[in-house]
Amino acid sequence: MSEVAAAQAPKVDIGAWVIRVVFLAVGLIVLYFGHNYKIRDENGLVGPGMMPFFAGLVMVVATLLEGIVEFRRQRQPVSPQDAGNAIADADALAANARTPTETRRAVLIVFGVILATVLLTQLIGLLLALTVMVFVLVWPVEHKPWWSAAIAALLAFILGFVVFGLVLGVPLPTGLLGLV
Amino acid sequence: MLENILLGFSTSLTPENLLWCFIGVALGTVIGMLPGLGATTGVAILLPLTLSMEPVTALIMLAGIYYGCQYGGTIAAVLIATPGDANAVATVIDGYALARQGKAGKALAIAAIGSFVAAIISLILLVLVAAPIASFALRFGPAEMLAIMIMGMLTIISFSGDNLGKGLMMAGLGLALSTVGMSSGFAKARFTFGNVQLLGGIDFVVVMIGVFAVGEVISQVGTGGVQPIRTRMRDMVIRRQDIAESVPAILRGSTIGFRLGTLPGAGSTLAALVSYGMEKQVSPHRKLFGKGAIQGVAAAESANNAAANANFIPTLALGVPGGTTTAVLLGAFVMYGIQPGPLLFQNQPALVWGLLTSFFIGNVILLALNLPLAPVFAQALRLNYSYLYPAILFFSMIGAFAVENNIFALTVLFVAGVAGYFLKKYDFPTAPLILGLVLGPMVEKALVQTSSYANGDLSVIFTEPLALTILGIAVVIMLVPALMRRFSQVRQENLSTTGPLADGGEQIDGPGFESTTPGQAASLRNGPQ
Repeated sequence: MSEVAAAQAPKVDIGAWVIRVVFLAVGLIVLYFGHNYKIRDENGLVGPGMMPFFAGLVMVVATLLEGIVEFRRQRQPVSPQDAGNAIADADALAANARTPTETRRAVLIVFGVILATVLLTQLIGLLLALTVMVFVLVWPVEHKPWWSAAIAALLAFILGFVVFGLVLGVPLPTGLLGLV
Repeated sequence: MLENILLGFSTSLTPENLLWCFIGVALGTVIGMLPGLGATTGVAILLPLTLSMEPVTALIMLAGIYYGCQYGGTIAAVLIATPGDANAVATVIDGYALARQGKAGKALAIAAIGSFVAAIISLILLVLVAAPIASFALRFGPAEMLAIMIMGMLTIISFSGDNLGKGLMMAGLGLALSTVGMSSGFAKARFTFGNVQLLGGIDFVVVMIGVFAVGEVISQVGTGGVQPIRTRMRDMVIRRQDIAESVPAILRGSTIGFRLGTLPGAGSTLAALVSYGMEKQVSPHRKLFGKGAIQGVAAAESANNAAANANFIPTLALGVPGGTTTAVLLGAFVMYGIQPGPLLFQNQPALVWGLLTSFFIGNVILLALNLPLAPVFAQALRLNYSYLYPAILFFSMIGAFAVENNIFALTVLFVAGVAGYFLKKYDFPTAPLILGLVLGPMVEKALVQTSSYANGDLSVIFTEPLALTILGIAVVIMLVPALMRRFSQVRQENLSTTGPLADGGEQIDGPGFESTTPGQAASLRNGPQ
């Protein structure tokens, strides 16, 4: 099958459909709770459930309509011009980008580092945890020299301490160890 | 009137007041650049610095901090796609796109120029119509405020890009998230599921930082192709043509911003969002919006600054805060023993006019300080992204914590960052989410008040003449152009399916068929293989 012909075949974007299902589920939950919180109170006035009910309704209706439009669009064959555009765009992107596996790995690593920082904050405090995060991201993750990572981390620490701790007087948490 | 202005300038142009105005603007700009610290936080944090000053000097400095913070938020919005406050959300859309094209200097420059022009226009309007506008604002009851909020919600159309369905999904999610916690009008905790941390609700600033900053950083890291932006000097500096093309947007934005800013409680966020939304509907450059339209930045920033100045009308004339920052300033008034209200203009003209004229001076300082520095700020984008994004994450996370001094904010930030990444990956517009989060409480408050006022009959919004007028204007300006474009698009599609191309005829080169990349041109030349 030629490249253009393959690009013309209808494609299902599974990730986008998963997001639509999540939106539909959340919308239905919000709708349900909005109804339970009471849309109108005993006196007929707006109740605590009106806004959640309205929000849930918007989510459900918009998701269904958008899903129907997308489903119909995906069933139609792609025109040769659009297929050509898609191939050209993919080629341009591939010239500089990571492979899908590398992308997933990079994203997971950075998310993991952020999550670890949030958890580490409980132990060593926010400023130190963020400083460690900068060091880890620059050196092992981005493969820069360890000394440049150390300088970047130190600069971040000093700026954060001076600006937020001293000047703005933000009570930065020191964690269980009570360090900085 | 002229005497009042001269009195005001004679007060604000003293060396001491000029110095503290400069310090306020400079400090405010630095604070505003930090994610999570908007004008309200900046003013609140620096308020104690002014306790030993004369009241007029203190208020001039605080006002300088106010709009300095706004411009600082603009810098963060343009350079790292992280609005410093909700009123810079509209600026992110086109400002960041310009920055990615190497034109951050232009975006920052037009923001400074637009803000300056808006300050002049709003000062003139303040002088001419402050009292009558304050009186007119009193006519805005619950139904009128609800109509204004509906107009704000209609701007979702403009922020949804090409996919209105996805925009509505995101706006609905934003509205739903805004209801989490203890509701303001009811003694009821919603969607807390027994979690004490959620009783206070989900702060939109933290979600904004997560979705915009963290989500954007992860997207760029995932792409892996982010190079430092190589830009030419001439792209960093604004040209006369850019300014000339932005003048209509600045004038429209200033007018809209001033009008909305005079409404008690509306704040400058609504003004910036509505101005951007309307500009997108009427601008001759509307096709560039969302992809780096300098007019988009101009409209949002002008409205922002005009509204910030106009917020002082209800604050000074009625003692009712125009927005959250002026609410903090109102507290400052009380601290200094000043009673805002209708008599303030008569009893303390030097203070009032000194404060109002200081807006002009402060914006001159802002322009003088930041216009030459705009290309310098933009140099930050030349840093290797491997060093830049850890710094962005560092300040984003510490800023998110500083919003409410609560570690739980970091958890919200993480979840919002994950959501922001996936939403961006699958082309879900994120601005409507923030719109829903920000406007949700305001819409609900207006709903509750309208319901109480009209004994539960919400159709009063269609029977109150002023409310109906506002709704009519909103529908005409927001919906009609969008519907007409859609109708025109459908007509073109029908023509293309019944015209020469309908039976697979030869592709014709010409307007609407031109290739945009060499790859596309080759594909069209070679045809199906």
